[in-house]
Amino acid sequence: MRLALRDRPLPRGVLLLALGAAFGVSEAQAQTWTSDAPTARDEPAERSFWQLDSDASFTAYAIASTLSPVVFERRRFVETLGLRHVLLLGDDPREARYRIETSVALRVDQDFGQDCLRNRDVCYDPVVPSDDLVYQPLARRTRLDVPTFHVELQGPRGLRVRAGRQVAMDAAGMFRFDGARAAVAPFEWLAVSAQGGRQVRPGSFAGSPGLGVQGSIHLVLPESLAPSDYAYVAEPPRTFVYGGAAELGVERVVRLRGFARELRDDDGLVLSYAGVGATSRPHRALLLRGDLVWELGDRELVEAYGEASVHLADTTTRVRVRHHVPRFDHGSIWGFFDPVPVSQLEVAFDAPAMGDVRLGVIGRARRSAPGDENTVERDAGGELWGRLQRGAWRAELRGFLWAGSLSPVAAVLGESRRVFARGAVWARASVWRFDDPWRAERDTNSVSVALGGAFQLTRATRFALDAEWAHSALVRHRLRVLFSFLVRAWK
Amino acid sequence: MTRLLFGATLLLVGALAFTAGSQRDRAALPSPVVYPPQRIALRMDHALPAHARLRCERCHEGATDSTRANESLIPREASCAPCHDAQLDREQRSAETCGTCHVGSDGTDVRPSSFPPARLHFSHQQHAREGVRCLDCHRAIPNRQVATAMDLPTMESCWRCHGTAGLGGDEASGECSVCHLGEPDGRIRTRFGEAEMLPPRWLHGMDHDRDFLVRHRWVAADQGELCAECHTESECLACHDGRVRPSSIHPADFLTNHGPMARRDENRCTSCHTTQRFCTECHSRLGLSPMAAPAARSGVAFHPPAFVDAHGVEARRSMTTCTSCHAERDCVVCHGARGIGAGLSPHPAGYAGRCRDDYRRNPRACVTCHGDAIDTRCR
Repeated sequence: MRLALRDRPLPRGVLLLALGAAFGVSEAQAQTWTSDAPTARDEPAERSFWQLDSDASFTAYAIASTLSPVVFERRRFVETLGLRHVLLLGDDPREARYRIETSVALRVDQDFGQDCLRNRDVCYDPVVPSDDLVYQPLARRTRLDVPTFHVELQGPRGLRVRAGRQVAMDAAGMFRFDGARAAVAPFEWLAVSAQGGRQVRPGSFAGSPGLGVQGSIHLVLPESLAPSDYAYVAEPPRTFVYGGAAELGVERVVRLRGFARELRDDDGLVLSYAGVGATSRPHRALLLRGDLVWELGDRELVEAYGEASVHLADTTTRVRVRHHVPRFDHGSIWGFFDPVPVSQLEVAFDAPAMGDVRLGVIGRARRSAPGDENTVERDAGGELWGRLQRGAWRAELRGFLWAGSLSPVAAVLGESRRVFARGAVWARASVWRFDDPWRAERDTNSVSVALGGAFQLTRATRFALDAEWAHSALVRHRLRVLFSFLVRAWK
Repeated sequence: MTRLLFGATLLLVGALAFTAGSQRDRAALPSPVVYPPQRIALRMDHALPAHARLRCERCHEGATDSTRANESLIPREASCAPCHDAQLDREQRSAETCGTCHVGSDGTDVRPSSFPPARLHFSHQQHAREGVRCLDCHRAIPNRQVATAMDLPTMESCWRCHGTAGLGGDEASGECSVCHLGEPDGRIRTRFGEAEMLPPRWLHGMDHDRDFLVRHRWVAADQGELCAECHTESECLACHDGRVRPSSIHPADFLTNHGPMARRDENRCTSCHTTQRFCTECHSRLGLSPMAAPAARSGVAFHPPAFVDAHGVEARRSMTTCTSCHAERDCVVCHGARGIGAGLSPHPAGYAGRCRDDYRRNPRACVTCHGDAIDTRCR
């Protein structure tokens, strides 16, 4: 990669931030509905409401590795701006049974960082539009995203009809799509839903191996650049997702659920999942829950989950089993590789101990067989935690340990937080120890300390500052500073 | 390993014994978020026989007509007058008179009390009409001196009648908004000035404890509509878009520690991060990835020589770790039908017998490795 003048597009996020802040502050002074006054007010007679939900943050830190001659400075500005409008339908808004909600979220991610060789005498830009032979770590410095943009009709009996960009989820995970979804629960013991649309993958979300076509780098290129000119960069194919789900029964006896979901692109079927699950609560103190998910193509069980929880007095005992196959979908070559299941058993218990202290303990065991019979991996771990909650002050200390085939990892972490009427302050500290199974020279300890605070400026605005210092033999000293400004209010 | 398991079991049993031993008979306490802290400078003894034989409404006037939670039902001075006339004599202010009811009063001053209203919708009137008696909800008060927020009903006790989804009693509606304050969009208001309201521990396994970070995926798959009573999708996206760093999931200095944790994949990195996008951005900028710019590449190989023989095992356990640096083409170079290691099939045993179905479903991946040399058995 040759040196280039740094390409720094206009930080449009700053404009959005200014807009959000100006609108938010003036709006906050006018808002009356979600007052923090501890009263149980009746709902007002208005039928139209706006909500502003804006969050801007700036983070600065440096990234380095002992295995790399490069260090790069990350200067990242992220702004989200959410707007929602709720319209209550009917003559009397207090008795409204139907409402229409319109929701839109915008996000700007602006990178200011640069990449330098370790002695910092040579720096280069991670975006080099003129160089078409190498991978571009950042196809562009400014990324604009629309996480959600939908209109929804809500009504009685769980009626929800939605159109636009939205998120849905089932036992196989979350997915985002542009399309429509309808759900209704006509009886307490029956609920059905169905959705269909085009999957959204170029954005920042919905890119997990099980849910998105992987295999090549799917980046959204600047309009001036042709995807075909760029190595390792490919525009994502059009992928459509459709499916549905149903629930039947009541939890006191057993509630059954099932779902099916398929992804299809221009070349054919990409993914085909179906699952069944059940939840039962035969006694107030006992909860049983389980889910199974299959890939229909080869009928392989890709996810299994079982949980039994017992709540007695103020104690909780929970046993959980997970079985997971880390497979990719059939849109990539990795979908045809031979991944192996990873199984994990957990037993957890927590209870109040002395005074305001609560103690918990978790035992874990993990098993996988990625090779022949001689390479079965077994790991065991444990975690112990204690939490003190005294009024507005809360402190937590926990330590965990993993040992076995995947090499040991251990850590002790502590956090203390004090909440005030107009904010909070906190402190964190941690000590980690981990071994690298492939490079003994990378076995190391890591220590970190962080201080921060959040302060309420008005009822609807607040800012937070968090500074973290860390040290390890791998990257030596690192300082990370985060500043964020939040506006959230109804009008 | 056996020793470790034995040690872990001992630890677990020890902790169980300790906590069980110190466990008192504690039912869930009323939420301090729903019932904000009170300041009570009053003296009262509900268990006193003279008080115990009175009907509740005798002192708590208007209780059975109250329709809102922010109406104060604390007895006024006039309610005490018939019996405490002597103590209420303004001409005789002293610690003996005023101090009878007002804690610490010497007759010249009275400490104020504060009873913030509950953050609920509640109608005593409606409950009274349905035949609910005061002691059905305020059970312990006859044995109390001063009644406090601890004597207000817990959500669990409300569920004796307001249970939902076939859980509690079904005599009354189990809709969240029947009791809880709502936002205009129909969701429950959970954020208040000094605190955030969280689900009780017993509700659908939804207790938002540390363990919930791992469990919430399955809880949401099971109880998605219930999650939506409090949360919007933007809250899901705030974490799952991979652009913020929740400290609860990524503890301190995770930048250094993420390698071993990702290899273990306990919290499933791919729930939030696209490995082919998020991970490679940093790894290639650092020169760790084969995709890195030549100037950024290290002279030292990332993987040690022995890794060549072991990479299959690593890949089968955690392909996502591989894809945080490598693209498909890196695999194809060796494993492709015409690659350096052609014949070293990454397919499961017996795959040739069922490859035809996969080819029909989506041939793209087949072509990526095999080009036009796809086995005729698969076409």
